[in-house]
Amino acid sequence: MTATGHAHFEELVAGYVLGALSAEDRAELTAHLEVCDDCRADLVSLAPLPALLSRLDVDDVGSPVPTTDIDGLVAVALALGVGAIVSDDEAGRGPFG
Amino acid sequence: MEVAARHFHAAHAPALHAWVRSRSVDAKEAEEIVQDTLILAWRKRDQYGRSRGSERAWLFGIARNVAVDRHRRQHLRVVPAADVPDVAADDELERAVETSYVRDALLGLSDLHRQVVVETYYEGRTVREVAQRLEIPEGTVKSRLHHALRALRRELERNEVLP
Repeated sequence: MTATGHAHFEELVAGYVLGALSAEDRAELTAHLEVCDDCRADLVSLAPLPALLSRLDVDDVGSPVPTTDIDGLVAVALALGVGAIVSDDEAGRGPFG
Repeated sequence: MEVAARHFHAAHAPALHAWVRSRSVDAKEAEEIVQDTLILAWRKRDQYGRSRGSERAWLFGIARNVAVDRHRRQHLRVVPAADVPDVAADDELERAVETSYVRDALLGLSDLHRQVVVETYYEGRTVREVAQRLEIPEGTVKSRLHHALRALRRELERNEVLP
């Protein structure tokens, strides 16, 4: 298959939905989409992603997440014992409850 | 028991932490809210049923209540309004849960795949610019983007963010 075969276009769809293609690639893909159901289906499938990605900002995805104290939770889980169930009343009662 | 608690923690703590932090809560308080939430959720896990939606949605609901309770208890303190996390409405909570899955999906990509998404989408570079910067063929950037977005799509389907 040459560089203008289906696989070539299929790989352009992701760059297209992210708005990262050159004008030439974009024009090529647009023409191909007219005649290719598979690529159109791909486009529909990936199209919702930019809106979802826009909910995060670059700092959010670049930096590692601080970890919470897992050992604290495990200690509590162990202290409660295997299968220990705390009733709603017991768990919810405050100092004046 | 310990394994289950660790699994529960690993699956949700980072997402929970990111969400609480995003609501203008300082680092120390966020840490406390996350711990309180996970402990409370662990103790009440028998009350959680699949019919109530995703485990994470349930957990975010608990976190919201924990945060509200803390601020009720502290209501006599003078706190700048911007520092008080407001009560998230249910649809806002649902959106927060979705966003947390988007974040997990992105962070779950391989470094090479995440890199091209960050460079193009978040940093606004074209495929060509990224290829030059990373000194790799343009075709490689396109191919990585292709695999990255498919992986994101699969992961978001699995967590029912996308149909």
